[in-house]
Amino acid sequence: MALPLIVTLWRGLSTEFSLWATLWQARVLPLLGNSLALAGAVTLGSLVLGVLLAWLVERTDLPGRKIFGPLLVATLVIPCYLIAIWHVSFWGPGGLLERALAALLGASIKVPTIYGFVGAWLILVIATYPYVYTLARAALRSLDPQLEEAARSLGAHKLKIFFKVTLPLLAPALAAGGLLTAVYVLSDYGVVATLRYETFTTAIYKQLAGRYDQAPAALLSTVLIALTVILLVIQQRLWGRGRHYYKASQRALPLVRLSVWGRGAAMGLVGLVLFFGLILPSGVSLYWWLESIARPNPAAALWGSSLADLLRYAGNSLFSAATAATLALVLAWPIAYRAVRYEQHGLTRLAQAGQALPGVLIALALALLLHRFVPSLYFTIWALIFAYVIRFFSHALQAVESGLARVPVRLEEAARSLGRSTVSIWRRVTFPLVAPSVAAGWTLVFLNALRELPATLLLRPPGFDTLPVRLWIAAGEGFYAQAAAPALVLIILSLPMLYLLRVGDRPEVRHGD
Amino acid sequence: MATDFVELRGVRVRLGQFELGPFSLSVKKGELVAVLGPSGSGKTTLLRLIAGFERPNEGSIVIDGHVVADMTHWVEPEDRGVGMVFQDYALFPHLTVAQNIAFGLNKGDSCARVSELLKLVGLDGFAGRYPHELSGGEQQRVALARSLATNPKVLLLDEPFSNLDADLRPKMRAELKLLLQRLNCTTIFVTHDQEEAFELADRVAVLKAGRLEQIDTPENLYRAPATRFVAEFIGHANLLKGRVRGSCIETALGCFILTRPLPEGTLVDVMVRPEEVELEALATPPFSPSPPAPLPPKGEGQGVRVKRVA
Repeated sequence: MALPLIVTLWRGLSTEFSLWATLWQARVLPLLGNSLALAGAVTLGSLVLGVLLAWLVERTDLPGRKIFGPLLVATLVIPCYLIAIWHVSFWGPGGLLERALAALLGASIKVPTIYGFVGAWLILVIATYPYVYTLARAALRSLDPQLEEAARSLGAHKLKIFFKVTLPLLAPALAAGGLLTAVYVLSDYGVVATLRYETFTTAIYKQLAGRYDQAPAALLSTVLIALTVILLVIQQRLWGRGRHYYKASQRALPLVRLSVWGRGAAMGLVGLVLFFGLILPSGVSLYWWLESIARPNPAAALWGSSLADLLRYAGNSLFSAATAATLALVLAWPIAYRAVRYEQHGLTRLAQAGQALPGVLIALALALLLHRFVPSLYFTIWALIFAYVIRFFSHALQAVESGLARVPVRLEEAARSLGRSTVSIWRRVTFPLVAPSVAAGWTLVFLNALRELPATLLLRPPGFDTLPVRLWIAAGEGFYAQAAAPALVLIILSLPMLYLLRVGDRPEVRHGD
Repeated sequence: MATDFVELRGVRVRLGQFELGPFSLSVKKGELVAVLGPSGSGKTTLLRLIAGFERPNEGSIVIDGHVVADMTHWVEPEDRGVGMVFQDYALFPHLTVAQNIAFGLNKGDSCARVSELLKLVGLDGFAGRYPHELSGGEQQRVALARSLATNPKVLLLDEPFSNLDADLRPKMRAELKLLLQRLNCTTIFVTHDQEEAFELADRVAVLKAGRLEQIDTPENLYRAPATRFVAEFIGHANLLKGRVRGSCIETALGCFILTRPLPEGTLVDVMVRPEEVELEALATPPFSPSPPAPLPPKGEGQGVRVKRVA
């Protein structure tokens, strides 16, 4: 699994120094600035929004908080490039808003442009705040209420308690959520490409897709890998130091009562977030879908938007995602078993390398690798499936590991003492007990692969279109009506994610980039 | 001096299924009162009422002449000047010992005060440690120092010894008693351990299912319990059924002299403390001739099980 990483680094580091020198000034520095600025701003925005929403849902008497609680995570169901696409089709030049304004007022009014840093920032904050939100919520729930009461009995007022007690206690969760967000932003392709903000991923993509010039792409990738690795190392450090406070008291803290104004503002904020993340994207896709039915475009035939075509794309998506998920689980089993039963985690760490890598990078690495060693696999569906497995392998591994950790060794030993072989024990004892976790892991890999965009765009064999690829290409040309049907099918296929999110409250579902 | 410093008047609070009160309780300045009762009797709720973490549904609470809670007044916990030591200490895990103690202090004068308090509780040199690096006893002393730092009018202790090892308790108890006597601080503490309550407290309030059964000195509670529950809960009590006949009470073990007049024929219970019983061997056995089976020795004296054969 780490092979693509090594190949890319080797290729990047072995390029001539002169290329490094020229690219460093012209490309790397501006890209570095762009990527870091966006990652920093989005992380900050997500932290503020995520903590605020978590606090409102967990600790105040916000009306409807029982419904808003899970609903605020539900934005993860819509792949984040879709959120971006529908926002552009709504706010963008000649978009729905301008059309509606023109129809209503009779005058053409220019909406401020959504393209660029601000637009990318807004969409990414809306897309990534659930990472911080879920972690902050869990942390708030496990806070010992006695600590805040102790602070009050010492004469501390609300603000002081928040900044000196609550916030420091949330810090480990916030650091984890913030890093998750930063790593995600660095790996995102769909949103920044849609909003025309240039970062490492879009630059690498252009090098690969346009010129197919691998040397500069590998070089840029090396810098991106370095950035990601720095963040990951920080993350590991923080996890190691993560102080876990147990909750001593079962007593729930009294909810903070919001004033009428506070309540109004809070409802407004929650409403706004849900509008941007959930209502507008689904509403706009429904609108475009209805328009594609009401007013069939003569050019639509070119786009292959008939039902048969749609079913073919869905079939391609389902097949590749399901194969990848199954393969990932089969590969994960022995590694996880080894890690849990014999406490050897070295392999696991290495196998997780793919998790944080942008899809663009994995596509590049596979292209380098296959091109040189197994040209017969290059541009086949297997290259694509292999990319999915590498990218989402860590989900499979984590699921199997956590499942295995809950099966006591004693059970296996008992079965062995009854004269069963290892395979028979796995089949009759271990596997039935781990099955729920395996199912969850399979679904996670499947759903993530289903919505994968950049690696699919770069590695798919000619004529093999998946739902994301189809809607991406259509939307890229401005044929939003033709993008609507595959988008809706994709969203509907993603709905099982709601169940996973409800069960685990874990932000493990990537947003699709 | 002997005026009521903390006063609860007809306080009643309802928390879900549980109801506490109505009851009244007053504590004098400098007094050390223990609240004793089985688990679920509302001891902790009583402390939380005084600290301001629960609001009474009825009645009023007065501290140092100021009404802090009644139907019209409400003083927030942070403005009450009530120090509380929580059952599991609730030390801030992200702050050092010194930072924990200084939490309620103003920046300016905290340094000197912190070292003074550390010395008071015998923890010099622990200032830079984190709570998880301390033993249970040390954590408790930090919690105590932290709540004393702000010079509270009243100190509340919730089961201060329950998280300590059994062999550490007597030592900590003695230390706490000395410290509180030195500070002359009005203190209310909650416990389910009768020995603890009797050793430390000037007066003990016995709670049962949210009601105050009796509040009195340890001596009086033991000698003259107001209710059957108090009699059974405190020490060992042998209760004998009896009937009033003339100036005495007739029981299976013989007649007891009636201490206050009761109508003829009233059914009563007679409490006999174990140490008030003396056993004498009889020549003719109305009791089992075999030697009585000894019970395991317990404190002073010895329990004896006697079988009656008649």
